[in-house]
Amino acid sequence: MEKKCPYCGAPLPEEASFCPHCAKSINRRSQPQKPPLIPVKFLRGILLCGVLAVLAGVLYLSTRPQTVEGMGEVYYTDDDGTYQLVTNVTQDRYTPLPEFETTAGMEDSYRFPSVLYINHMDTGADASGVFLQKVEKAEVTILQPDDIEDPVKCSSPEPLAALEDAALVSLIDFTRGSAGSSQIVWTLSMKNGDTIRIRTDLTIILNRILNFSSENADLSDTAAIQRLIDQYADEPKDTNINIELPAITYDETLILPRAVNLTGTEENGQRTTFTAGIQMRDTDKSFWISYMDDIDFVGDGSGVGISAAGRLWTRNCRFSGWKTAILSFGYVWINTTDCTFEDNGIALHYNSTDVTASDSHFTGNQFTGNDTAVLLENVPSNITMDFGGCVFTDNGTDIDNRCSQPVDISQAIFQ
Amino acid sequence: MYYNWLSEALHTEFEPLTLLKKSERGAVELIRHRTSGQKFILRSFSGSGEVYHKLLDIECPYLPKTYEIASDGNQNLVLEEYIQGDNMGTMLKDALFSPEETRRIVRQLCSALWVFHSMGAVHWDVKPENVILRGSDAVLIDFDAARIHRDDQTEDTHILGTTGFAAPEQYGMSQSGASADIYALGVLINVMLTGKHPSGKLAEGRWGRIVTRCTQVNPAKRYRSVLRLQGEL
Repeated sequence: MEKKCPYCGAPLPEEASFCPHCAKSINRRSQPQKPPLIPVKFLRGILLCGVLAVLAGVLYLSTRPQTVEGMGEVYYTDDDGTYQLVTNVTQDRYTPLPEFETTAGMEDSYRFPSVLYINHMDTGADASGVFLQKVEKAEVTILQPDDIEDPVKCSSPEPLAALEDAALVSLIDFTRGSAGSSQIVWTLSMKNGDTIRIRTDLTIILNRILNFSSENADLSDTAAIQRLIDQYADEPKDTNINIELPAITYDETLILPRAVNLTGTEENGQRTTFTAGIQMRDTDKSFWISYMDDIDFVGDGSGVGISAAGRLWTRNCRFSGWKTAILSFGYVWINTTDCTFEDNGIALHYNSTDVTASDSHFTGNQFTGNDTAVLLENVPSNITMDFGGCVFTDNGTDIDNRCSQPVDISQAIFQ
Repeated sequence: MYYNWLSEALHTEFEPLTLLKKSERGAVELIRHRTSGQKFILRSFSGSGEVYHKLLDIECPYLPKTYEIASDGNQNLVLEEYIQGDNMGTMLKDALFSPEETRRIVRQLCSALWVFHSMGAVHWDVKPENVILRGSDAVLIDFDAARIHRDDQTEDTHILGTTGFAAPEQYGMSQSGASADIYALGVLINVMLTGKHPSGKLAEGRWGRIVTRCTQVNPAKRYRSVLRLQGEL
């Protein structure tokens, strides 16, 4: 107890804003300040003067082809009306993206879509069809320094089925060699001779990458890996820590206080194996994913294989003999692809909330002989989970979809 | 921990009256202070309590006072003012509002929403059932759906950067912001005046133009802020 209620004297914790004893509020409140608004009439007056001046100029210029430019968006007017042209990397057709910052980690290459949306200014409706008929040629180019190690590349703009609301999409590819600043430029040459240019400043930042294997680190038992990981626990979140584990059995629980990528190996038919599971600690809604590849998780009928309170993606792993093979809880998105789940109580138990999805893929998994293969108690985001190519065999329950999550099982096999 | 302390103190000093709402996410209860007989609303829910933390310090006659919040990880306990009055949703079943009443009430709701928008939050659930008329004041209740609105899309874009070409659904987390509340206010105005959604019957004259401006498909064409709408009224 660190303070007293000013009304009744009851002892209260320091954080208290309210005294439960006498039911009085004890914190100071203020009214939010409203910014002064310039009267609309005044603005209209100024606008009118401006418009008249511009009109004279426009009358002169309208007789010749014009060039319209903007960062992330332009408004273009012709005889049929005014159009809002927006470029960004999302499905939000109204929000321009003048600058885009992204990172390059350890993958060989990265790709994101640069998307062009065309809206009717007055209604907000999609005007792609009408507008594209007026376009002679659409081009995307990247302005970047000549000495860049690996230039950012772009595909020529085309409609893309996956982004059906977009007028045109160019796929932008880059690698770690593309780090630095550049600019994506959309150029639309109109049939009437006009030119429209929309630019987005692109910044690619390099993540630090730390690679460990038996050659440069002690990975002989769980305690040794734990020491290594704990040593780097406070590295910036965007540092990639990759650990290639030898093909031995780790018989104690490993705790991950941050995102770490673990890759197993195989030697003489034995794969890297965990028999006491992995606990991923709460990483505070971090968007960094721990990838786990080629690892066996073998339980004794109790316990949890991977308890994930951080983002997780397992690939080509095998889980058998767990009460729960993978459990998600807290603010977490997990993916699992091309994995085998055999003889577990619950193979995949989703019970997390309040984060965006990493990806929709849950493809290529084998679920065999589990009491419940997939239990969806709470899934954050209403994305459709794609179980394409999964094979469900001899499970008590295949998918227990308690939260009515959209799932695509059209390409899954139930036998 | 404060959460446990508050939970314990509420249990000792207050008695439960009615369970008003229960969902997967949590519960809303009407409780009474044992010694003074004063009624309060107690919310327990999982998720982010960020909005309530900010509301602790706010004084606005058109929002219930947030008296206390305690969080334990994902779990939150919120003690809130109980607003006694008439529910607008119920009132609209029997009668409509006059233009003069509508103007006063919507101006008050604009002030309430400004509190959210000025702290970067969005109410997300503006509707007659969430407006209580207490004397001459309209009070906007139930900000369970309220969230702090993130303008930047770093989270989504970073995921893009780490997973190569990800499924397009994932960067479609379109974050409609304050303009979503303005849209809902437009519908509310129309319902107060005509009893119907604008698509069914649009309010007449100048009111109709205000509703139309609030409910534009393109958020960029709506009033830029609730203060602009308030000024227009």
